[in-house]
Amino acid sequence: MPDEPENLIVPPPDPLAQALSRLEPAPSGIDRDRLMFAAGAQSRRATIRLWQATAGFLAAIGFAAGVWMYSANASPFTRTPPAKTAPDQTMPTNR
Amino acid sequence: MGPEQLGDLVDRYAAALTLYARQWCSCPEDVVQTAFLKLVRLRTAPDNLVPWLYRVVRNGAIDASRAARRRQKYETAAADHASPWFTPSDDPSGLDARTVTDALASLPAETREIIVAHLWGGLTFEQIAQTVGSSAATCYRRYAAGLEVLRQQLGAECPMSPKT
Repeated sequence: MPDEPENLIVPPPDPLAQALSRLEPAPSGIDRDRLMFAAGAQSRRATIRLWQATAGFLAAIGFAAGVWMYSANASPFTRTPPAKTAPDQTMPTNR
Repeated sequence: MGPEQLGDLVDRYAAALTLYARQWCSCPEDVVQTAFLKLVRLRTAPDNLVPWLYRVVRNGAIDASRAARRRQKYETAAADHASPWFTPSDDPSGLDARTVTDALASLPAETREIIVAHLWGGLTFEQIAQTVGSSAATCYRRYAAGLEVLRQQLGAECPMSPKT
């Protein structure tokens, strides 16, 4: 707890307030074991999500790299054929 | 937050927090449990831990109350008195738990929550003011006025008040 401010409002002692505060609130119906189990699951959820995010990120990078490499290696299929040139007009000489 | 610390918090504050949540909704245990789980999810514990818990419980209880009202108008009023607010006192000279519950229930909600937070939650008026979004002086005025109403209603049964 941080330091409390110095000018706290402190009510004067009141017999009724004292008598009221002596009453115990009814016990909470919270299942302590269930709560602790759920709390444990909650605290691990962040770690699990971190690993899930990391795995997803790496998978995305791998996929992107695969696509890039495939497209780079696939150049024989996409290579443009050599431009057609006009046949040589010079007549072969038969000597 | 470690399990031992959480268990300690539950043991110390769950009953009072449940009483506080009961001012609004019919499922106070769920609201308090959700608040504790929310605390576990935090990376760092809040500076003012107990007032933080009360604020989260208050918001959760009000939300739960609204949801319950949407489902069924009469559910909240019926369930508010279904479970006891206080453990019956073994002290015969003490206040009657049922009478105090009825007297508290008759107070306006904004007054009742301050009295509950101060008397059974142990919050200062400054902490209550942060929780309810008001000033400490206003909270104290409401507390004093509410206590006077309770005094009138319980006066004859208050063990320490002079009988006239």
